[in-house]
Amino acid sequence: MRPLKLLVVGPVGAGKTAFIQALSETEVVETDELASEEIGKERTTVALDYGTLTLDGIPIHLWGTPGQERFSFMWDLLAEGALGLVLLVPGDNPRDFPKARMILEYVTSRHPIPYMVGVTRQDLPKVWTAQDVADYFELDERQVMGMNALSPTSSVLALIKLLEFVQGETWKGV
Amino acid sequence: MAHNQQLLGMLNQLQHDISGVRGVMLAASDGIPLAHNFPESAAGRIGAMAAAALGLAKRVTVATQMGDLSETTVRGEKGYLLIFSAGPKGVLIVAAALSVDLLEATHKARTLAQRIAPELEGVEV
Repeated sequence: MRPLKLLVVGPVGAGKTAFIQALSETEVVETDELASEEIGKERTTVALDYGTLTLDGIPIHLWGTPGQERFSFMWDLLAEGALGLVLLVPGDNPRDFPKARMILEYVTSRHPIPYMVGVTRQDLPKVWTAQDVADYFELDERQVMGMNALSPTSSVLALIKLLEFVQGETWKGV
Repeated sequence: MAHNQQLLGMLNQLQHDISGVRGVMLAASDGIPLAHNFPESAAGRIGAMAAAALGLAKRVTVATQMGDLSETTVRGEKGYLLIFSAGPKGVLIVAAALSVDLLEATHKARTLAQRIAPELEGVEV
């Protein structure tokens, strides 16, 4: 079966690399380098993350992007041929919501593909919910999901949600 | 770390020493320009692209058992972009015309990257 290419985008620190690490069944190809800006962590993705898994018999290739706008050429490059898009938004950091919206518009205006929004860090006490974020982004609430990108279970549920949009049908389980 | 003026001096010297070099930049490993003599409007993008290319090439060398990466080269119809690792914190970028003496340019730029690397190490950039 032809692999399904999915793109993972979002601002710095939303959990894109963690999401792919949580899901991939193969060793993740990462391109993290030392950050020279204060971004709340030591390293940052400069080119891509790449991981693969099989879900319900479907081979899935996950391509993660850098979050900074200066790497927008990578968003465009990696979106080529993608059939679905996950936008991760850090639920504890509403200051990054405008950046997230800009990334979503940048990618979907060039590559009109189905997408879902994952609101990460739902394990934290003070965090925006999926409903809050759906209102903010003026999206259908079914397209937005609260999640924890560090958790494989939570990440799989988000992936299933996206596959429903990509395939246009409700997932019926394995 | 050397002051940016000193860094820029070293970059300009490299350009002066090699015929056919069009621009030189030292960027942080995450692509932010630290010192350069490219047009300001192009610098951010060149830094980010070179950092991405070097970051990806590093994983290629690991996957193919080539040890640590030191450099990668992009050749187009009209010129080269030579990209060198300057330690874990830096990327040295040299844009050159096709007419450049590639061996000379590579050797001199590599030497400069190795010289700059320890100055970037262990300090905030």
